[in-house]
Amino acid sequence: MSDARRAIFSAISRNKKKIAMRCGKITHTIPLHARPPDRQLQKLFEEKAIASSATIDHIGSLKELPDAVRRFLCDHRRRTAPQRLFINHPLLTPLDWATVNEASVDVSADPAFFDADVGITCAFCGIAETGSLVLLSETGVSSAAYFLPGVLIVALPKDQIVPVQETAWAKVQRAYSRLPRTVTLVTGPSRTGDIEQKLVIGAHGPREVHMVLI
Amino acid sequence: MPAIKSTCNEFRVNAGDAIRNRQLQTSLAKLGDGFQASRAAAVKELPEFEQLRDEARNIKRHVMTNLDTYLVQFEEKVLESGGRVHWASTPQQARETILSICRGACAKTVTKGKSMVSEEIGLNDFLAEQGIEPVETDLGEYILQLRKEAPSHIVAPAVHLSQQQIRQTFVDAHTQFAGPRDLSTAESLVDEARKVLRNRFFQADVGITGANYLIAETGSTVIVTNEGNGDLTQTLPKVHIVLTTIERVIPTLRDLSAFLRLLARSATGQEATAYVSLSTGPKREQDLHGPEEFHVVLLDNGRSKLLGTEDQDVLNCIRCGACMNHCPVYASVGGHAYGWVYPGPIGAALTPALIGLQQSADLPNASTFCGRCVQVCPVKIPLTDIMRRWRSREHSGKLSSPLQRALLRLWAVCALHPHVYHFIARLGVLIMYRLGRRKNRFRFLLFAQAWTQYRDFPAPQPKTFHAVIKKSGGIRYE
Amino acid sequence: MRTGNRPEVALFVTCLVDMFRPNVGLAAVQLLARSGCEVVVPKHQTCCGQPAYNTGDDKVARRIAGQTIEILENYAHIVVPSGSCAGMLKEHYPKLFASEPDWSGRAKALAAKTYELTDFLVNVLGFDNVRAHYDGRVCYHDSCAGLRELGIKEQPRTLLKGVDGMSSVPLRDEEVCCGFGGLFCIKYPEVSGEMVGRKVKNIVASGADTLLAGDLGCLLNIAGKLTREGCNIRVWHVAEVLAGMTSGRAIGESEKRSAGN
Repeated sequence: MSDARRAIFSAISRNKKKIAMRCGKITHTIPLHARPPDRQLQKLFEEKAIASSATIDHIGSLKELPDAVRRFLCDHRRRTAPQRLFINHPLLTPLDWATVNEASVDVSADPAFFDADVGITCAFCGIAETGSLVLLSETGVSSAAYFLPGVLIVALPKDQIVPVQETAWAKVQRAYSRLPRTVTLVTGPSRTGDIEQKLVIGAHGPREVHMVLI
Repeated sequence: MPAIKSTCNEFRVNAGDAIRNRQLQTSLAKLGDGFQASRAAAVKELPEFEQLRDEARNIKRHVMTNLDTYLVQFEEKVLESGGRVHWASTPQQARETILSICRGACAKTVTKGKSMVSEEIGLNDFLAEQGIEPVETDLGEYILQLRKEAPSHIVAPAVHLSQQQIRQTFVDAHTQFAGPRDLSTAESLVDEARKVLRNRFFQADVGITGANYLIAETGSTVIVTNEGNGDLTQTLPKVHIVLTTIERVIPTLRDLSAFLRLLARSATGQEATAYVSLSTGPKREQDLHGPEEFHVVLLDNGRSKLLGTEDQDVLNCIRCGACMNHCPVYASVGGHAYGWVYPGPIGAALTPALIGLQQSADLPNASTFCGRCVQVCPVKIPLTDIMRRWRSREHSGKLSSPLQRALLRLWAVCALHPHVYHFIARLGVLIMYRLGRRKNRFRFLLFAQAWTQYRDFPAPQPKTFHAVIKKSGGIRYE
Repeated sequence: MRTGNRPEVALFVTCLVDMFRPNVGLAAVQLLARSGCEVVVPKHQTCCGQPAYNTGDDKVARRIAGQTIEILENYAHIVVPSGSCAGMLKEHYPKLFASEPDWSGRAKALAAKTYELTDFLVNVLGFDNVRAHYDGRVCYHDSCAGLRELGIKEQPRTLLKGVDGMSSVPLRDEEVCCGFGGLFCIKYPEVSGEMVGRKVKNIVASGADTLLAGDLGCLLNIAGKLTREGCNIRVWHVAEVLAGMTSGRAIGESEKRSAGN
């Protein structure tokens, strides 16, 4: 279709200067509420995350994660008992998941089980402005498993919370010379308003997003 | 030749049907407390909103003036990341490109994220004719696919349906579920759709999404969603096709954030949607999942023609739907009355450029120019001015009705000749005053049935203002 | 140009007011005179040109606009008892002549001294001497062009505060279009009928016995629907109430009802 390409570019170059639309200087304003002092960053992040219907837990170190997960999954308020947990990040595989096994949940990091009902992964960073998590496709990680499980658990180091998206992009671009195939900002569980504009939490993606801040 | 048939010029008939459709009217009545209210709340909480609108408009104008540069950069980056770029001037070329990619993948099933461009090119019917099954995965689009209906809104495509109608559709279509099940709540309906579509996501050979933005800096395509269906569509199948149009490109990731601050707030009143996903090329070697092929199909279909014209700003549109959410005409007739893919004010401004004014003249005419759309548009498209210019083209192209032209010419003669005006006005007013004096209004007015079919016409006072003032002599009449 | 120290105001009365409700023009004259203006009515004014402009006949619209500019431009201020006609002069005349250097300057100059009536009274004259009485529960419809092109919102309400005996009730969707839209109501009558039907439902639900607005097009449209629906609600242009000219028949009001006033 290079004929089409030629036609399109020649039309663009012919037309674009016909009337020059007045264009002001390009500026990028970052809203004031998204620039709190550093010590308020985590507070803002948590506020926004909770407003987006995510839940939050806090632990002191990564090795406490399996316990926190077990607590979360075994909450008596759950309607259906979780069956399988897919570990979706190489950093999490070496942890001691026996405690979760004891709660009758199968745990596996085997990619064959990527479609488990619970998935756990690590966020690259968090964005305070909207309470969002930045999830990337990385070595040994299934990006599909960000969207398949009914329950998504995400570990996020507290010091990886940045104020705004712009900071997050810069961070990703510093860490990777080429953007990973998938970069997703996740803000709470999936949802839809397609039925009479009623908000229903839990559409095709996870119904629950649980963040564990470390 | 539009890929799908339009019924834009049957707007009056469509509108009449829509107004008499009680179910539709009930659904439309929810827009006020729904999208309108949530947008207003979100805007109130963001003091910088007006400034962000200006900045977004500036970025878009800058892009349009340099569209070729940014498209070249985008293409380079996509190629660098192992993806492929296809160009299509017409809907037919786009369809054939997509077909050939699907054939190359021996595709039997294709999942689709929500894409208005795919409606524009009539993709689903075309693929089905070629023996490839398209499966809509966005909940609203999925429901419409089952009902064989077109979307009526660009963000909430099934906004015209009631929960009861949706329930009935599922009962009729989901025959795989034997026996009764509880579908009495919106949650249960969403749950069932999730179950049904889960398998389809896995079965698909090709996933087709649209793109809210194309990032020139990185060669990424961006989708902004709430359901997660777009992500499953673009991750699970072997082939990911992004069907989009040339004006969607923006320079950098930083620019993306500027638009994202406006998009969800303007559309649904959310600060952020559940998912903002960037796709850059096919999967890398070390990725566990992802498509092996990544294709971007860039369609023109009339957009390059809008560049450099007074109406260029219509290309700034970020498809938020705020204009139609606030339009009193849309609120009265819904999206289907507009007769083609894009309804509401953006439909009225854009459709004539895409399918021709002759096929769509009613759309820019069916507006009172109340201006609410202009007020809420996040990228400040002068929608009413653009509609007015379409009316000018209609007039100079002699496409408008001869009766209208004759009556307006008559009025012009009056307006340009004060003595004629005063004479006709005084005579007309006198006649109407005498005829209407008893009840002070007319239930029926010859030549004005369009008015009197729906309301009375108040009778005038006995004399015109000019007659009274001239006679009174109290003030300077010169 | 002031005559003595009274601001000179040319009244652009608008064709609808001239033909269908001169009292609005008389009320405007009264209010302007009372607030200390020297009011002039240029006799050759006809129409602002909106019908031609909004149906895309730019050539005729420019001719009418040019004629109107010539008639009005030598006066110190131009005041219009209509948001849409004032908006036409202020916002759209400059657009019409944007690419004609000779006329562009004159259009901009006229625009700069053209005002909608309530805006002129409140923001230019600081008029606060409304001495009127009106018995009624009043709701107010914000006409689209006045609201969105000229920012007319608080001005009429501020002036109405000076009317004795009157109470205000909120009107749901007061800023939503009534469906007049110039020729729209004739070209798309069913949609227009639906829109004005909704407006009327809201007016009835507000509990008001009176509807006011600043644009005669809206008022004729809404009044016609109210009487068609058999509603006992009086419709006036806001100027009529402010000038105390409400002893006669309201817009479209039949003889019977006003007898029981």
